[in-house]
Amino acid sequence: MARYALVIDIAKCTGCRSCVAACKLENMVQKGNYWNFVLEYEEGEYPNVRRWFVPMNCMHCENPPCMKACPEGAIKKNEYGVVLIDYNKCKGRRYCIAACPYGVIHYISKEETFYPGEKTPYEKLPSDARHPLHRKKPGVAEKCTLCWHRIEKALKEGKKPGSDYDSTPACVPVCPAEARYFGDLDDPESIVSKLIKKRKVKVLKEEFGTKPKVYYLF
Amino acid sequence: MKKGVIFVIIFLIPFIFAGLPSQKKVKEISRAIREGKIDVGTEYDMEPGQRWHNIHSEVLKIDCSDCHIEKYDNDYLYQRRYKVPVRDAPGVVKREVCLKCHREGGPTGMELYGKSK
Ligand code: HEC
Ligand code: HEC
Repeated sequence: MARYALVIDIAKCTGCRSCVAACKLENMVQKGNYWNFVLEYEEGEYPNVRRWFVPMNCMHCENPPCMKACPEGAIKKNEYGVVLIDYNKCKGRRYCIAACPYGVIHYISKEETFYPGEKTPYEKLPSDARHPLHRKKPGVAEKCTLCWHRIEKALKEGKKPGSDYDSTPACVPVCPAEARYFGDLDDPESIVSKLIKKRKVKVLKEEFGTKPKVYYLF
Repeated sequence: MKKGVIFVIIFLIPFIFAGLPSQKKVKEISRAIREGKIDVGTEYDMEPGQRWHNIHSEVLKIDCSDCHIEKYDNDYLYQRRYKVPVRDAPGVVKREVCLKCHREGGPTGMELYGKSK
Protein backbone atom coordinates (compact mmCIF):
# COMPACT_ATOMS: atom_id res chain seq x y z
CA MET A 1 0.00 0.00 0.00
CA ALA A 2 1.07 3.55 -0.52
CA ARG A 3 1.24 6.41 1.96
CA TYR A 4 1.44 9.75 0.22
CA ALA A 5 3.39 12.58 1.76
CA LEU A 6 4.87 16.01 1.10
CA VAL A 7 8.37 17.23 1.81
CA ILE A 8 8.90 21.00 1.92
CA ASP A 9 12.36 22.52 1.85
CA ILE A 10 12.23 25.56 4.08
CA ALA A 11 15.76 26.55 3.13
CA LYS A 12 14.62 26.93 -0.49
CA CYS A 13 11.19 28.52 0.04
CA THR A 14 11.23 32.20 -0.90
CA GLY A 15 7.68 32.87 0.26
CA CYS A 16 6.36 33.63 -3.25
CA ARG A 17 3.00 31.94 -2.60
CA SER A 18 2.74 30.24 -5.98
CA CYS A 19 1.63 27.13 -4.11
CA VAL A 20 -1.09 29.11 -2.37
CA ALA A 21 -2.43 30.48 -5.66
CA ALA A 22 -2.25 27.12 -7.43
CA CYS A 23 -4.15 25.48 -4.59
CA LYS A 24 -6.85 28.14 -4.56
CA LEU A 25 -7.50 27.71 -8.28
CA GLU A 26 -7.26 23.95 -8.39
CA ASN A 27 -9.57 23.43 -5.45
CA MET A 28 -11.84 26.43 -5.95
CA VAL A 29 -11.26 27.62 -2.42
CA GLN A 30 -13.42 30.60 -1.65
CA LYS A 31 -12.29 34.05 -0.55
CA GLY A 32 -11.05 34.19 3.01
CA ASN A 33 -10.30 30.49 3.31
CA TYR A 34 -7.08 28.66 2.50
CA TRP A 35 -6.16 25.02 2.09
CA ASN A 36 -2.54 26.07 1.86
CA PHE A 37 -1.00 29.18 3.39
CA VAL A 38 2.48 30.56 3.96
CA LEU A 39 3.30 31.79 7.45
CA GLU A 40 6.29 34.00 7.97
CA TYR A 41 8.24 35.26 10.92
CA GLU A 42 11.57 36.76 11.84
CA GLU A 43 14.15 35.34 14.13
CA GLY A 44 17.10 36.96 15.87
CA GLU A 45 18.08 40.54 16.41
CA TYR A 46 19.47 43.10 14.00
CA PRO A 47 21.89 42.61 12.27
CA ASN A 48 21.67 38.84 12.74
CA VAL A 49 18.14 38.25 11.57
CA ARG A 50 16.59 35.47 9.56
CA ARG A 51 13.21 35.40 7.93
CA TRP A 52 11.37 32.10 7.79
CA PHE A 53 8.62 31.14 5.39
CA VAL A 54 6.62 28.10 6.39
CA PRO A 55 4.00 26.87 3.93
CA MET A 56 1.30 25.01 5.84
CA ASN A 57 -1.44 22.72 4.60
CA CYS A 58 -3.19 19.71 6.13
CA MET A 59 -0.52 17.45 7.59
CA HIS A 60 -2.53 14.30 6.73
CA CYS A 61 -1.65 12.91 10.14
CA GLU A 62 -1.31 9.17 10.66
CA ASN A 63 -3.10 9.81 13.93
CA PRO A 64 -5.53 12.63 13.04
CA PRO A 65 -7.13 14.38 16.05
CA CYS A 66 -9.77 15.98 13.78
CA MET A 67 -11.05 12.54 12.85
CA LYS A 68 -11.40 11.51 16.49
CA ALA A 69 -13.04 14.78 17.50
CA CYS A 70 -15.73 14.80 14.78
CA PRO A 71 -19.03 13.77 16.39
CA GLU A 72 -20.52 12.95 12.96
CA GLY A 73 -17.78 10.60 11.76
CA ALA A 74 -17.41 12.83 8.71
CA ILE A 75 -13.61 12.70 8.61
CA LYS A 76 -11.82 9.60 7.37
CA LYS A 77 -8.26 8.64 6.57
CA ASN A 78 -8.29 6.59 3.38
CA GLU A 79 -6.12 3.56 2.60
CA TYR A 80 -3.47 5.83 1.07
CA GLY A 81 -3.17 7.86 4.28
CA VAL A 82 -5.05 10.90 2.94
CA VAL A 83 -7.38 12.55 5.46
CA LEU A 84 -10.67 13.69 3.86
CA ILE A 85 -13.83 15.45 5.01
CA ASP A 86 -17.15 14.13 3.71
CA TYR A 87 -19.25 17.26 3.04
CA ASN A 88 -22.44 15.21 3.06
CA LYS A 89 -21.85 14.08 6.62
CA CYS A 90 -20.27 17.29 7.98
CA LYS A 91 -22.72 19.31 10.06
CA GLY A 92 -20.34 22.19 10.79
CA ARG A 93 -19.84 21.39 14.49
CA ARG A 94 -16.25 22.73 14.25
CA TYR A 95 -14.88 20.16 16.71
CA CYS A 96 -12.23 19.31 14.11
CA ILE A 97 -11.15 22.95 14.06
CA ALA A 98 -10.84 22.96 17.85
CA ALA A 99 -8.80 19.76 17.88
CA CYS A 100 -6.35 20.47 15.04
CA PRO A 101 -3.08 21.82 16.46
CA TYR A 102 -2.03 23.13 13.03
CA GLY A 103 -5.08 25.31 12.37
CA VAL A 104 -5.44 24.04 8.82
CA ILE A 105 -9.20 23.46 8.86
CA HIS A 106 -11.48 26.32 7.84
CA TYR A 107 -15.19 26.75 8.35
CA ILE A 108 -17.37 28.04 5.52
CA SER A 109 -19.85 30.34 7.24
CA LYS A 110 -21.22 31.83 4.03
CA GLU A 111 -20.47 31.83 0.35
CA GLU A 112 -17.98 34.56 -0.54
CA THR A 113 -17.06 35.52 -4.09
CA PHE A 114 -13.78 37.10 -5.15
CA TYR A 115 -15.47 40.01 -6.91
CA PRO A 116 -18.47 41.70 -5.30
CA GLY A 117 -21.75 40.73 -6.98
CA GLU A 118 -20.01 38.74 -9.69
CA LYS A 119 -18.81 35.16 -10.07
CA THR A 120 -15.67 33.88 -11.75
CA PRO A 121 -16.07 30.89 -14.12
CA TYR A 122 -14.78 28.68 -11.32
CA GLU A 123 -17.30 29.99 -8.83
CA LYS A 124 -20.08 29.51 -11.38
CA LEU A 125 -19.37 25.80 -11.78
CA PRO A 126 -22.44 23.98 -10.41
CA SER A 127 -21.98 21.53 -7.57
CA ASP A 128 -22.69 18.38 -9.59
CA ALA A 129 -20.14 19.36 -12.23
CA ARG A 130 -17.43 19.33 -9.58
CA HIS A 131 -15.45 16.53 -8.01
CA PRO A 132 -17.20 15.50 -4.74
CA LEU A 133 -14.27 17.00 -2.82
CA HIS A 134 -15.03 20.40 -4.35
CA ARG A 135 -18.74 20.35 -3.50
CA LYS A 136 -18.28 22.31 -0.32
CA LYS A 137 -21.05 24.59 0.82
CA PRO A 138 -21.79 27.01 3.65
CA GLY A 139 -21.96 25.22 6.99
CA VAL A 140 -19.16 22.73 6.41
CA ALA A 141 -15.48 22.56 7.29
CA GLU A 142 -12.87 22.39 4.53
CA LYS A 143 -9.17 21.64 4.24
CA CYS A 144 -6.43 20.37 1.93
CA THR A 145 -7.11 16.97 0.33
CA LEU A 146 -3.54 16.51 -0.97
CA CYS A 147 -5.33 16.94 -4.32
CA TRP A 148 -6.93 13.56 -3.86
CA HIS A 149 -8.94 14.12 -7.06
CA ARG A 150 -5.64 14.09 -8.98
CA ILE A 151 -4.18 11.09 -7.14
CA GLU A 152 -7.43 9.14 -7.56
CA LYS A 153 -7.50 9.85 -11.30
CA ALA A 154 -3.88 8.79 -11.69
CA LEU A 155 -4.52 5.53 -9.85
CA LYS A 156 -7.58 4.84 -12.04
CA GLU A 157 -5.55 5.41 -15.18
CA GLY A 158 -2.82 3.12 -13.91
CA LYS A 159 -0.37 5.99 -13.57
CA LYS A 160 1.96 6.44 -10.65
CA PRO A 161 0.82 9.45 -8.58
CA GLY A 162 3.54 12.07 -8.71
CA SER A 163 4.90 10.85 -12.05
CA ASP A 164 3.64 13.81 -14.06
CA TYR A 165 2.07 17.25 -13.66
CA ASP A 166 -1.58 16.09 -13.59
CA SER A 167 -1.03 13.33 -11.08
CA THR A 168 0.81 15.50 -8.54
CA PRO A 169 -0.81 17.86 -5.99
CA ALA A 170 -1.22 21.28 -7.63
CA CYS A 171 1.06 23.05 -5.14
CA VAL A 172 4.09 20.90 -5.98
CA PRO A 173 4.98 21.42 -9.67
CA VAL A 174 4.27 25.17 -9.58
CA CYS A 175 6.96 25.90 -7.00
CA PRO A 176 9.61 27.97 -8.82
CA ALA A 177 12.19 27.16 -6.15
CA GLU A 178 11.44 23.44 -6.41
CA ALA A 179 11.04 23.38 -2.67
CA ARG A 180 8.09 20.96 -2.64
CA TYR A 181 8.23 17.22 -3.19
CA PHE A 182 5.47 14.65 -3.32
CA GLY A 183 5.68 10.89 -3.16
CA ASP A 184 5.03 7.58 -1.46
CA LEU A 185 6.62 6.95 1.94
CA ASP A 186 6.25 3.20 1.50
CA ASP A 187 8.35 3.24 -1.65
CA PRO A 188 12.02 3.47 -0.62
CA GLU A 189 12.88 4.72 -4.12
CA SER A 190 10.49 7.70 -4.01
CA ILE A 191 11.91 11.21 -3.79
CA VAL A 192 10.26 11.79 -0.39
CA SER A 193 11.66 8.60 1.13
CA LYS A 194 15.12 9.44 -0.14
CA LEU A 195 15.03 13.01 1.16
CA ILE A 196 13.78 11.92 4.57
CA LYS A 197 16.57 9.38 4.80
CA LYS A 198 19.31 11.67 3.55
CA ARG A 199 18.49 15.05 5.08
CA LYS A 200 17.54 16.41 8.46
CA VAL A 201 13.74 16.53 8.52
CA LYS A 202 11.31 17.90 11.03
CA VAL A 203 7.57 17.57 11.50
CA LEU A 204 5.59 20.30 13.19
CA LYS A 205 4.44 19.94 16.80
CA GLU A 206 5.66 16.42 17.25
CA GLU A 207 4.62 16.60 20.90
CA PHE A 208 0.98 16.17 19.86
CA GLY A 209 1.72 12.64 18.68
CA THR A 210 -0.25 13.23 15.47
CA LYS A 211 2.45 11.74 13.22
CA PRO A 212 2.13 14.29 10.41
CA LYS A 213 2.96 13.32 6.82
CA VAL A 214 4.25 16.75 5.78
CA TYR A 215 7.98 16.89 6.43
CA TYR A 216 10.13 20.02 6.53
CA LEU A 217 13.76 20.21 5.48
CA PHE A 218 15.97 22.85 7.06
CA MET B 1 20.96 23.42 47.78
CA LYS B 2 18.97 20.39 46.54
CA LYS B 3 16.36 20.94 49.22
CA GLY B 4 15.96 24.51 48.07
CA VAL B 5 15.32 23.45 44.48
CA ILE B 6 12.75 20.86 45.51
CA PHE B 7 11.08 23.39 47.74
CA VAL B 8 10.84 25.91 44.90
CA ILE B 9 9.37 23.27 42.55
CA ILE B 10 6.75 22.23 45.11
CA PHE B 11 5.97 25.87 45.70
CA LEU B 12 5.49 26.43 41.94
CA ILE B 13 3.22 23.44 41.23
CA PRO B 14 -0.05 25.13 42.16
CA PHE B 15 0.87 28.07 39.92
CA ILE B 16 1.82 25.92 36.94
CA PHE B 17 -1.50 24.08 37.07
CA ALA B 18 -3.55 27.00 38.31
CA GLY B 19 -7.04 26.92 36.94
CA LEU B 20 -6.99 23.43 35.53
CA PRO B 21 -8.72 20.79 37.65
CA SER B 22 -6.67 17.83 38.90
CA GLN B 23 -6.32 14.76 36.68
CA LYS B 24 -8.35 12.74 39.17
CA LYS B 25 -11.18 15.23 39.06
CA VAL B 26 -11.05 15.33 35.25
CA LYS B 27 -11.26 11.53 35.16
CA GLU B 28 -14.35 11.51 37.39
CA ILE B 29 -16.03 14.25 35.36
CA SER B 30 -15.17 12.56 32.07
CA ARG B 31 -16.80 9.34 33.24
CA ALA B 32 -19.86 11.16 34.58
CA ILE B 33 -20.36 12.98 31.26
CA ARG B 34 -19.91 9.80 29.25
CA GLU B 35 -22.40 7.93 31.46
CA GLY B 36 -24.89 10.78 31.11
CA LYS B 37 -24.79 11.66 34.82
CA ILE B 38 -23.87 15.24 34.03
CA ASP B 39 -26.05 16.90 31.43
CA VAL B 40 -24.01 19.01 29.03
CA GLY B 41 -26.62 19.25 26.30
CA THR B 42 -26.70 17.72 22.86
CA GLU B 43 -25.85 20.79 20.82
CA TYR B 44 -22.47 19.76 19.50
CA ASP B 45 -21.00 23.12 18.61
CA MET B 46 -18.22 25.52 19.58
CA GLU B 47 -20.35 28.51 20.57
CA PRO B 48 -20.37 29.25 24.34
CA GLY B 49 -23.59 27.87 25.83
CA GLN B 50 -23.35 24.80 23.65
CA ARG B 51 -21.98 21.41 24.54
CA TRP B 52 -18.26 21.98 24.03
CA HIS B 53 -17.94 25.12 26.17
CA ASN B 54 -20.48 23.66 28.64
CA ILE B 55 -18.09 20.79 29.28
CA HIS B 56 -14.93 22.84 29.49
CA SER B 57 -16.06 26.08 31.12
CA GLU B 58 -19.23 25.19 33.01
CA VAL B 59 -18.55 21.66 34.25
CA LEU B 60 -14.73 21.60 34.39
CA LYS B 61 -14.72 25.27 35.42
CA ILE B 62 -11.65 26.08 33.33
CA ASP B 63 -11.19 29.83 33.20
CA CYS B 64 -11.64 31.46 29.78
CA SER B 65 -8.15 32.90 30.07
CA ASP B 66 -6.57 29.49 30.66
CA CYS B 67 -7.39 28.75 27.03
CA HIS B 68 -8.01 32.08 25.33
CA ILE B 69 -4.88 34.25 25.27
CA GLU B 70 -4.39 37.65 23.69
CA LYS B 71 -2.23 36.59 20.78
CA TYR B 72 0.07 33.88 19.47
CA ASP B 73 3.84 34.18 19.71
CA ASN B 74 5.46 35.31 16.46
CA ASP B 75 6.80 31.89 15.66
CA TYR B 76 3.67 29.93 16.61
CA LEU B 77 2.98 27.82 13.54
CA TYR B 78 -0.78 27.83 13.26
CA GLN B 79 -2.25 28.29 9.80
CA ARG B 80 -5.42 30.18 10.78
CA ARG B 81 -3.51 32.64 12.96
CA TYR B 82 -4.35 35.55 10.65
CA LYS B 83 -8.05 34.82 11.08
CA VAL B 84 -8.26 35.93 14.68
CA PRO B 85 -10.05 36.80 16.79
CA VAL B 86 -12.59 34.13 15.94
CA ARG B 87 -16.13 35.39 16.07
CA ASP B 88 -16.15 37.38 19.33
CA ALA B 89 -13.91 34.93 21.13
CA PRO B 90 -12.03 36.48 24.06
CA GLY B 91 -8.75 35.62 22.34
CA VAL B 92 -6.89 32.93 20.47
CA VAL B 93 -6.27 29.42 21.76
CA LYS B 94 -2.93 27.65 21.73
CA ARG B 95 -3.75 23.96 21.36
CA GLU B 96 -1.05 22.99 23.85
CA VAL B 97 -3.63 23.33 26.68
CA CYS B 98 -5.64 20.47 25.22
CA LEU B 99 -2.66 18.13 25.58
CA LYS B 100 -2.97 18.18 29.37
CA CYS B 101 -6.23 16.24 29.22
CA HIS B 102 -6.59 14.69 25.78
CA ARG B 103 -3.49 12.59 25.29
CA GLU B 104 -3.63 8.83 24.87
CA GLY B 105 -3.80 7.30 28.33
CA GLY B 106 -4.85 10.67 29.79
CA PRO B 107 -7.78 11.35 32.11
CA THR B 108 -10.56 11.68 29.51
CA GLY B 109 -12.28 9.24 27.20
CA MET B 110 -11.53 11.57 24.27
CA GLU B 111 -7.94 10.60 23.41
CA LEU B 112 -7.32 13.06 20.61
CA TYR B 113 -3.52 13.11 20.65
CA GLY B 114 -0.95 10.34 20.60
CA LYS B 115 1.99 9.89 22.87
CA SER B 116 4.97 11.85 21.64
CA LYS B 117 8.24 10.04 21.18
C1 HEC C 1 -10.68 24.43 27.22
C2 HEC C 1 -10.34 25.62 26.53
C3 HEC C 1 -11.39 26.74 26.41
C4 HEC C 1 -12.03 27.40 27.44
C5 HEC C 1 -11.91 27.16 28.94
C6 HEC C 1 -12.85 28.40 26.82
N1 HEC C 1 -12.73 28.34 25.46
FE1 HEC C 1 -13.73 29.47 24.11
N2 HEC C 1 -12.92 28.41 22.58
C7 HEC C 1 -11.98 27.41 22.72
C8 HEC C 1 -11.61 26.91 21.40
C9 HEC C 1 -10.59 25.83 21.11
C10 HEC C 1 -12.38 27.63 20.48
C11 HEC C 1 -12.36 27.49 18.95
C12 HEC C 1 -11.46 28.53 18.44
C13 HEC C 1 -11.15 28.40 16.97
O1 HEC C 1 -12.08 28.28 16.18
O2 HEC C 1 -9.98 28.46 16.65
C14 HEC C 1 -13.19 28.57 21.25
C15 HEC C 1 -14.08 29.47 20.69
C16 HEC C 1 -14.77 30.44 21.41
C17 HEC C 1 -15.64 31.41 20.82
C18 HEC C 1 -15.97 31.53 19.33
C19 HEC C 1 -17.06 30.59 19.00
C20 HEC C 1 -17.35 30.52 17.53
O3 HEC C 1 -18.50 30.26 17.21
O4 HEC C 1 -16.43 30.67 16.72
C21 HEC C 1 -16.13 32.20 21.83
C22 HEC C 1 -17.10 33.35 21.71
C23 HEC C 1 -15.54 31.70 23.07
N3 HEC C 1 -14.71 30.62 22.76
C24 HEC C 1 -15.78 32.25 24.32
C25 HEC C 1 -15.30 31.68 25.50
C26 HEC C 1 -15.60 32.22 26.81
C27 HEC C 1 -16.43 33.48 27.07
C28 HEC C 1 -15.03 31.39 27.71
C29 HEC C 1 -15.09 31.44 29.22
C30 HEC C 1 -16.42 31.36 29.77
C31 HEC C 1 -14.34 30.35 26.97
N4 HEC C 1 -14.53 30.56 25.63
C32 HEC C 1 -13.63 29.32 27.54
C33 HEC C 1 -11.43 26.96 23.91
C34 HEC C 1 -11.84 27.34 25.17
C1 HEC D 1 -8.86 20.04 32.23
C2 HEC D 1 -8.99 19.02 31.22
C3 HEC D 1 -9.39 19.39 29.80
C4 HEC D 1 -8.80 20.32 28.97
C5 HEC D 1 -7.65 21.27 29.27
C6 HEC D 1 -9.48 20.20 27.70
N1 HEC D 1 -10.45 19.24 27.78
FE1 HEC D 1 -11.63 18.59 26.27
N2 HEC D 1 -12.71 17.43 27.55
C7 HEC D 1 -12.40 17.23 28.88
C8 HEC D 1 -13.41 16.37 29.46
C9 HEC D 1 -13.44 15.88 30.92
C10 HEC D 1 -14.35 16.08 28.43
C11 HEC D 1 -15.64 15.30 28.49
C12 HEC D 1 -15.57 13.86 28.66
C13 HEC D 1 -15.02 13.02 27.58
O1 HEC D 1 -15.41 13.14 26.41
O2 HEC D 1 -14.18 12.21 27.92
C14 HEC D 1 -13.85 16.75 27.25
C15 HEC D 1 -14.46 16.68 26.01
C16 HEC D 1 -13.91 17.12 24.83
C17 HEC D 1 -14.43 16.85 23.53
C18 HEC D 1 -15.72 16.08 23.23
C19 HEC D 1 -16.87 17.02 23.50
C20 HEC D 1 -18.25 16.41 23.44
O3 HEC D 1 -19.16 17.11 23.00
O4 HEC D 1 -18.42 15.27 23.84
C21 HEC D 1 -13.59 17.44 22.62
C22 HEC D 1 -13.70 17.44 21.11
C23 HEC D 1 -12.56 18.11 23.39
N3 HEC D 1 -12.78 17.89 24.73
C24 HEC D 1 -11.53 18.86 22.84
C25 HEC D 1 -10.67 19.65 23.59
C26 HEC D 1 -9.77 20.61 23.03
C27 HEC D 1 -9.59 20.87 21.54
C28 HEC D 1 -9.13 21.23 24.06
C29 HEC D 1 -8.14 22.37 24.00
C30 HEC D 1 -8.60 23.60 23.43
C31 HEC D 1 -9.61 20.62 25.29
N4 HEC D 1 -10.57 19.69 24.97
C32 HEC D 1 -9.16 20.93 26.56
C33 HEC D 1 -11.31 17.75 29.55
C34 HEC D 1 -10.45 18.73 29.06
